Amino acid sequence: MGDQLDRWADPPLLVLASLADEPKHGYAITQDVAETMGVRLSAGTLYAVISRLEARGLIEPLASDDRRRPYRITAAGARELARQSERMSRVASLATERLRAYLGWAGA
Amino acid sequence: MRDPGTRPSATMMARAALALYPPSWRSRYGDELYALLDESGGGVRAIASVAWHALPAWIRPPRHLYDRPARMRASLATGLVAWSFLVGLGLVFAQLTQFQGYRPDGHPVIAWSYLVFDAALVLSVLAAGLGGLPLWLLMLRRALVVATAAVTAVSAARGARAALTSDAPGTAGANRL
Repeated sequence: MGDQLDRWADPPLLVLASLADEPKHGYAITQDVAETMGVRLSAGTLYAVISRLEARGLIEPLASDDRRRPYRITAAGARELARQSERMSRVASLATERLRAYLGWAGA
Repeated sequence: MRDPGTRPSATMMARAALALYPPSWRSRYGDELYALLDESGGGVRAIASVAWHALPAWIRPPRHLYDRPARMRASLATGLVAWSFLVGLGLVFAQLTQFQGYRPDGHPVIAWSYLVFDAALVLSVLAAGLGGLPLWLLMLRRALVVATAAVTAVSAARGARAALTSDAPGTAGANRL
Protein backbone atom coordinates (compact mmCIF):
# COMPACT_ATOMS: atom_id res chain seq x y z
CA MET A 1 0.00 0.00 0.00
CA GLY A 2 2.87 2.32 0.85
CA ASP A 3 4.42 1.82 -2.57
CA GLN A 4 1.15 2.65 -4.30
CA LEU A 5 0.67 5.81 -2.27
CA ASP A 6 4.22 6.84 -3.10
CA ARG A 7 3.12 7.07 -6.72
CA TRP A 8 1.50 10.37 -5.76
CA ALA A 9 5.01 11.73 -5.48
CA ASP A 10 6.05 10.46 -8.88
CA PRO A 11 9.56 11.96 -9.35
CA PRO A 12 9.14 12.80 -13.08
CA LEU A 13 6.04 14.84 -12.31
CA LEU A 14 7.78 16.58 -9.44
CA VAL A 15 10.67 17.55 -11.70
CA LEU A 16 8.34 18.76 -14.45
CA ALA A 17 6.37 20.79 -11.92
CA SER A 18 9.56 22.28 -10.55
CA LEU A 19 10.69 23.35 -14.02
CA ALA A 20 7.28 24.75 -14.97
CA ASP A 21 8.03 28.28 -13.81
CA GLU A 22 11.69 28.70 -14.79
CA PRO A 23 14.79 26.72 -15.81
CA LYS A 24 16.75 25.16 -12.96
CA HIS A 25 19.83 23.06 -12.50
CA GLY A 26 19.96 19.84 -10.50
CA TYR A 27 20.58 21.28 -7.06
CA ALA A 28 17.93 23.99 -7.53
CA ILE A 29 15.42 21.30 -8.56
CA THR A 30 16.06 19.23 -5.44
CA GLN A 31 15.79 22.34 -3.24
CA ASP A 32 12.58 23.49 -4.92
CA VAL A 33 10.95 20.06 -4.73
CA ALA A 34 11.91 19.70 -1.06
CA GLU A 35 10.64 23.17 -0.11
CA THR A 36 7.44 23.32 -2.11
CA MET A 37 6.37 19.68 -2.27
CA GLY A 38 8.05 18.18 0.77
CA VAL A 39 9.81 15.42 -1.16
CA ARG A 40 13.54 14.83 -1.03
CA LEU A 41 14.87 13.61 -4.36
CA SER A 42 18.21 11.84 -4.09
CA ALA A 43 20.94 12.66 -6.60
CA GLY A 44 20.67 9.26 -8.28
CA THR A 45 16.89 9.48 -8.60
CA LEU A 46 17.03 13.03 -9.94
CA TYR A 47 19.47 12.26 -12.73
CA ALA A 48 17.71 9.03 -13.64
CA VAL A 49 14.56 11.13 -14.06
CA ILE A 50 16.34 13.92 -15.94
CA SER A 51 17.83 11.47 -18.43
CA ARG A 52 14.40 9.87 -19.05
CA LEU A 53 12.62 13.20 -19.42
CA GLU A 54 15.28 14.46 -21.80
CA ALA A 55 15.08 11.26 -23.86
CA ARG A 56 11.32 11.78 -24.21
CA GLY A 57 11.76 15.42 -25.17
CA LEU A 58 9.87 16.69 -22.13
CA ILE A 59 12.78 18.79 -20.87
CA GLU A 60 15.86 20.18 -22.60
CA PRO A 61 19.28 21.28 -21.38
CA LEU A 62 20.42 24.87 -21.68
CA ALA A 63 23.95 26.09 -22.33
CA SER A 64 26.04 26.45 -19.23
CA ASP A 65 29.40 27.91 -18.33
CA ASP A 66 30.03 25.64 -15.39
CA ARG A 67 29.29 22.06 -14.38
CA ARG A 68 25.74 22.90 -13.30
CA ARG A 69 23.65 22.62 -16.43
CA PRO A 70 20.16 24.13 -16.21
CA TYR A 71 17.11 22.45 -17.75
CA ARG A 72 13.84 23.88 -18.97
CA ILE A 73 10.50 22.30 -19.71
CA THR A 74 9.58 21.89 -23.39
CA ALA A 75 6.16 22.44 -24.98
CA ALA A 76 5.63 18.65 -24.95
CA GLY A 77 6.63 18.57 -21.29
CA ALA A 78 4.18 21.36 -20.45
CA ARG A 79 1.38 19.48 -22.23
CA GLU A 80 2.22 16.28 -20.37
CA LEU A 81 2.33 18.11 -17.04
CA ALA A 82 -1.02 19.76 -17.76
CA ARG A 83 -2.55 16.36 -18.62
CA GLN A 84 -1.22 14.75 -15.45
CA SER A 85 -2.27 17.75 -13.32
CA GLU A 86 -5.77 17.55 -14.71
CA ARG A 87 -5.92 13.83 -13.91
CA MET A 88 -4.68 14.35 -10.36
CA SER A 89 -7.07 17.25 -9.90
CA ARG A 90 -10.01 15.06 -10.92
CA VAL A 91 -8.92 12.36 -8.48
CA ALA A 92 -8.51 14.92 -5.68
CA SER A 93 -11.95 16.42 -6.35
CA LEU A 94 -13.56 13.02 -6.42
CA ALA A 95 -11.81 11.94 -3.22
CA THR A 96 -12.79 15.15 -1.41
CA GLU A 97 -16.40 14.87 -2.52
CA ARG A 98 -16.75 11.24 -1.46
CA LEU A 99 -14.94 11.76 1.82
CA ARG A 100 -17.30 14.61 2.60
CA ALA A 101 -20.25 12.33 2.02
CA TYR A 102 -18.69 9.41 3.92
CA LEU A 103 -17.31 11.18 6.95
CA GLY A 104 -19.21 14.40 6.93
CA TRP A 105 -15.79 15.97 6.39
CA ALA A 106 -15.81 19.66 5.49
CA GLY A 107 -12.53 19.39 3.66
CA ALA A 108 -11.16 22.51 5.32
CA MET B 1 33.39 17.33 -3.01
CA ARG B 2 36.05 19.96 -3.64
CA ASP B 3 35.46 21.82 -0.41
CA PRO B 4 38.41 21.70 1.93
CA GLY B 5 36.21 20.26 4.65
CA THR B 6 34.94 17.39 2.56
CA ARG B 7 36.37 14.03 3.40
CA PRO B 8 38.57 12.52 0.69
CA SER B 9 36.79 9.19 1.18
CA ALA B 10 33.47 10.82 0.14
CA THR B 11 35.09 12.13 -3.03
CA MET B 12 36.49 8.71 -3.79
CA MET B 13 33.13 7.06 -3.13
CA ALA B 14 31.36 9.56 -5.40
CA ARG B 15 33.86 8.92 -8.19
CA ALA B 16 33.54 5.17 -7.68
CA ALA B 17 29.74 5.42 -7.85
CA LEU B 18 29.90 7.45 -11.06
CA ALA B 19 32.34 4.95 -12.56
CA LEU B 20 29.56 2.35 -12.38
CA TYR B 21 27.57 4.14 -15.10
CA PRO B 22 27.88 3.45 -18.84
CA PRO B 23 30.54 5.68 -20.46
CA SER B 24 28.06 7.59 -22.63
CA TRP B 25 25.83 8.30 -19.63
CA ARG B 26 28.85 9.38 -17.61
CA SER B 27 30.16 11.71 -20.28
CA ARG B 28 26.74 13.35 -20.64
CA TYR B 29 25.64 13.65 -16.98
CA GLY B 30 28.73 12.81 -14.92
CA ASP B 31 29.92 16.38 -14.31
CA GLU B 32 26.45 17.61 -13.44
CA LEU B 33 25.80 14.77 -11.05
CA TYR B 34 29.16 15.30 -9.44
CA ALA B 35 28.39 19.02 -9.07
CA LEU B 36 25.07 18.14 -7.43
CA LEU B 37 26.79 15.80 -4.97
CA ASP B 38 29.29 18.56 -4.37
CA GLU B 39 26.64 21.17 -3.59
CA SER B 40 24.41 18.93 -1.55
CA GLY B 41 27.30 17.73 0.57
CA GLY B 42 27.32 14.17 -0.74
CA GLY B 43 26.77 11.73 2.08
CA VAL B 44 26.65 7.98 2.07
CA ARG B 45 22.93 7.80 1.26
CA ALA B 46 23.26 10.13 -1.73
CA ILE B 47 26.24 8.22 -3.07
CA ALA B 48 24.48 4.89 -2.50
CA SER B 49 21.52 6.22 -4.48
CA VAL B 50 23.83 7.21 -7.33
CA ALA B 51 25.40 3.75 -7.30
CA TRP B 52 22.00 2.02 -7.23
CA HIS B 53 20.69 3.93 -10.25
CA ALA B 54 23.69 2.82 -12.33
CA LEU B 55 22.00 -0.55 -12.79
CA PRO B 56 18.92 0.72 -14.71
CA ALA B 57 21.22 3.01 -16.69
CA TRP B 58 22.86 -0.15 -18.06
CA ILE B 59 19.71 -2.25 -18.38
CA ARG B 60 17.45 0.40 -19.91
CA PRO B 61 19.71 3.13 -21.29
CA PRO B 62 18.15 6.45 -22.32
CA ARG B 63 17.39 6.49 -26.03
CA HIS B 64 19.14 9.75 -26.83
CA LEU B 65 22.50 8.44 -25.62
CA TYR B 66 22.72 5.32 -27.78
CA ASP B 67 22.68 4.20 -31.38
CA ARG B 68 20.06 1.49 -30.95
CA PRO B 69 20.77 -0.46 -34.18
CA ALA B 70 24.48 -0.52 -33.36
CA ARG B 71 23.70 -1.69 -29.83
CA MET B 72 21.51 -4.47 -31.20
CA ARG B 73 24.16 -5.55 -33.70
CA ALA B 74 26.78 -5.64 -30.97
CA SER B 75 24.51 -7.70 -28.72
CA LEU B 76 23.72 -10.20 -31.48
CA ALA B 77 27.34 -10.53 -32.52
CA THR B 78 28.42 -11.06 -28.92
CA GLY B 79 25.72 -13.68 -28.44
CA LEU B 80 26.73 -15.59 -31.55
CA VAL B 81 30.43 -15.53 -30.69
CA ALA B 82 29.71 -16.72 -27.16
CA TRP B 83 27.44 -19.50 -28.44
CA SER B 84 30.01 -20.63 -31.02
CA PHE B 85 32.68 -20.70 -28.33
CA LEU B 86 30.45 -22.78 -26.08
CA VAL B 87 29.69 -25.19 -28.91
CA GLY B 88 33.40 -25.48 -29.72
CA LEU B 89 34.11 -26.40 -26.13
CA GLY B 90 31.31 -28.96 -26.25
CA LEU B 91 32.74 -30.56 -29.37
CA VAL B 92 36.21 -30.71 -27.88
CA PHE B 93 34.79 -32.29 -24.75
CA ALA B 94 32.89 -34.87 -26.81
CA GLN B 95 35.96 -35.78 -28.85
CA LEU B 96 38.17 -36.01 -25.79
CA THR B 97 35.77 -38.31 -23.98
CA GLN B 98 35.39 -40.46 -27.09
CA PHE B 99 39.14 -40.99 -27.41
CA GLN B 100 39.93 -41.37 -23.74
CA GLY B 101 38.21 -44.66 -23.37
CA TYR B 102 35.10 -43.30 -21.64
CA ARG B 103 32.86 -44.38 -24.46
CA PRO B 104 31.80 -48.01 -24.24
CA ASP B 105 31.71 -48.88 -27.94
CA GLY B 106 29.74 -51.95 -27.33
CA HIS B 107 26.63 -50.04 -26.29
CA PRO B 108 24.73 -48.73 -29.31
CA VAL B 109 22.62 -46.20 -27.37
CA ILE B 110 25.66 -44.39 -25.98
CA ALA B 111 27.40 -44.49 -29.39
CA TRP B 112 24.39 -42.91 -31.06
CA SER B 113 23.98 -40.34 -28.34
CA TYR B 114 27.47 -39.01 -29.11
CA LEU B 115 26.55 -38.65 -32.77
CA VAL B 116 23.30 -36.88 -31.90
CA PHE B 117 25.19 -34.56 -29.53
CA ASP B 118 27.77 -33.65 -32.19
CA ALA B 119 25.13 -33.13 -34.88
CA ALA B 120 23.00 -30.94 -32.58
CA LEU B 121 25.97 -28.72 -31.75
CA VAL B 122 26.94 -28.26 -35.40
CA LEU B 123 23.35 -27.62 -36.44
CA SER B 124 22.90 -25.00 -33.72
CA VAL B 125 25.96 -23.07 -34.89
CA LEU B 126 24.79 -23.29 -38.50
CA ALA B 127 21.32 -22.08 -37.55
CA ALA B 128 22.74 -19.16 -35.57
CA GLY B 129 25.18 -18.30 -38.36
CA LEU B 130 22.59 -18.49 -41.15
CA GLY B 131 20.04 -16.61 -39.04
CA GLY B 132 22.57 -13.84 -38.55
CA LEU B 133 23.61 -13.77 -42.22
CA PRO B 134 21.95 -10.40 -42.94
CA LEU B 135 23.71 -9.05 -39.87
CA TRP B 136 27.10 -10.39 -40.98
CA LEU B 137 26.68 -8.98 -44.48
CA LEU B 138 25.73 -5.58 -43.10
CA MET B 139 28.70 -5.55 -40.74
CA LEU B 140 31.01 -6.66 -43.57
CA ARG B 141 29.70 -3.93 -45.85
CA ARG B 142 30.24 -1.26 -43.20
CA ALA B 143 33.70 -2.59 -42.42
CA LEU B 144 34.58 -2.42 -46.13
CA VAL B 145 33.36 1.17 -46.33
CA VAL B 146 35.47 2.14 -43.33
CA ALA B 147 38.51 0.28 -44.69
CA THR B 148 38.12 1.90 -48.13
CA ALA B 149 37.86 5.35 -46.57
CA ALA B 150 40.98 4.70 -44.49
CA VAL B 151 42.97 3.48 -47.51
CA THR B 152 41.84 6.49 -49.55
CA ALA B 153 42.83 8.88 -46.77
CA VAL B 154 46.27 7.27 -46.43
CA SER B 155 46.80 7.37 -50.21
CA ALA B 156 45.78 11.02 -50.37
CA ALA B 157 48.11 11.87 -47.51
CA ARG B 158 51.00 10.10 -49.20
CA GLY B 159 50.25 11.86 -52.51
CA ALA B 160 50.14 15.25 -50.82
CA ARG B 161 53.37 14.53 -49.01
CA ALA B 162 55.07 13.48 -52.24
CA ALA B 163 53.83 16.62 -54.00
CA LEU B 164 55.10 18.84 -51.20
CA THR B 165 58.46 17.10 -51.19
CA SER B 166 58.90 17.48 -54.98
CA ASP B 167 57.91 21.18 -54.78
CA ALA B 168 60.46 21.96 -52.08
CA PRO B 169 63.34 24.20 -53.39
CA GLY B 170 66.15 21.94 -52.26
CA THR B 171 64.49 18.92 -53.75
CA ALA B 172 63.80 20.68 -57.04
CA GLY B 173 67.47 21.56 -57.31
CA ALA B 174 68.47 18.03 -56.47
CA ASN B 175 66.12 16.73 -59.14
CA ARG B 176 67.69 19.01 -61.71
CA LEU B 177 71.15 17.75 -60.78
